[in-house]
Amino acid sequence: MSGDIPDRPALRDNTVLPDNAVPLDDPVLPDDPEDADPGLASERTALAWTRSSLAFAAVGVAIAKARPAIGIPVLAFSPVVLLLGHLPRARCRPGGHSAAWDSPGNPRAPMAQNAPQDGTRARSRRALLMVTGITMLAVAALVITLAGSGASGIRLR
Amino acid sequence: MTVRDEKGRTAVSGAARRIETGRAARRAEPEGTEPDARFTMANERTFLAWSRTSLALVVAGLAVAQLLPPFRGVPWGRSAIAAPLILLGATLSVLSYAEWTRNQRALRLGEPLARSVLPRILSVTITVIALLAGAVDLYSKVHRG
Repeated sequence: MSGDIPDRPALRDNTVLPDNAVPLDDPVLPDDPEDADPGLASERTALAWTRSSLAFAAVGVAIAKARPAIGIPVLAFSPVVLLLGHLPRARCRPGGHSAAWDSPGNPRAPMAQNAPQDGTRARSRRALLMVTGITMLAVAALVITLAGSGASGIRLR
Repeated sequence: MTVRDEKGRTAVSGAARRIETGRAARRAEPEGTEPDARFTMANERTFLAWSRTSLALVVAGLAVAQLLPPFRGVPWGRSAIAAPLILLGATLSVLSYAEWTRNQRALRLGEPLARSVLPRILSVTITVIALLAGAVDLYSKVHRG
């Protein structure tokens, strides 16, 4: 049967594939869909930044109810974290060099070639800002904890 | 920072030269090549997960110090449990950044990733804090009895 249509791809058991079938070893369509589009990884990363932002918001609201002087700065840091995760996303997206992404079959490959090549320093700054925020919160929490152990100490409630 | 010698010539001091060299190194392009975006993002997500863990530890320490009723006979009990939690949160946050930097460098250079010490630090410290909390609670109950 496969001999009738020689230009169609055939499986080992000589089953003829339909016209729109693509061979599994085609480099344009890898096994993992993420290989075809690193945008999925980018989306997961953006969601991770969103979760981190929500964590800051939740902590900020909880503290701000009792002690606005500490809670409001923490709450204000939440949209900053959200922006950190979402603003550079479009720049980061085509930055990688996976074989599938750069393949001629990828319609976005020209965009990848023209994209900025290096976001390492920007990512480093974002990470450093995050660490600074958490460390400052930890220092404030430590001061509250140690100063609040006595009867006249700082109490959040 | 320039210094002028007895003949009026100016020269850059050693400290200034070191500062300038450091700045130039920071300005220079990072070594290696840009890795696959998926690896970079996975590294970033791991860092963010550790950051959220750090935040949770700081908040847990704050909650212990502020919301827990005082231990009878152990006035320092809440602080003794809360302070290590907060310190652990701050330490993990800083270490996670160091690890992110190290992993990013390894990715750029195509080197194998080093084994993370953060899970060990987290599990050991939480175990110690849990034992401490149990001991304080027991002591408080014995003291009350």
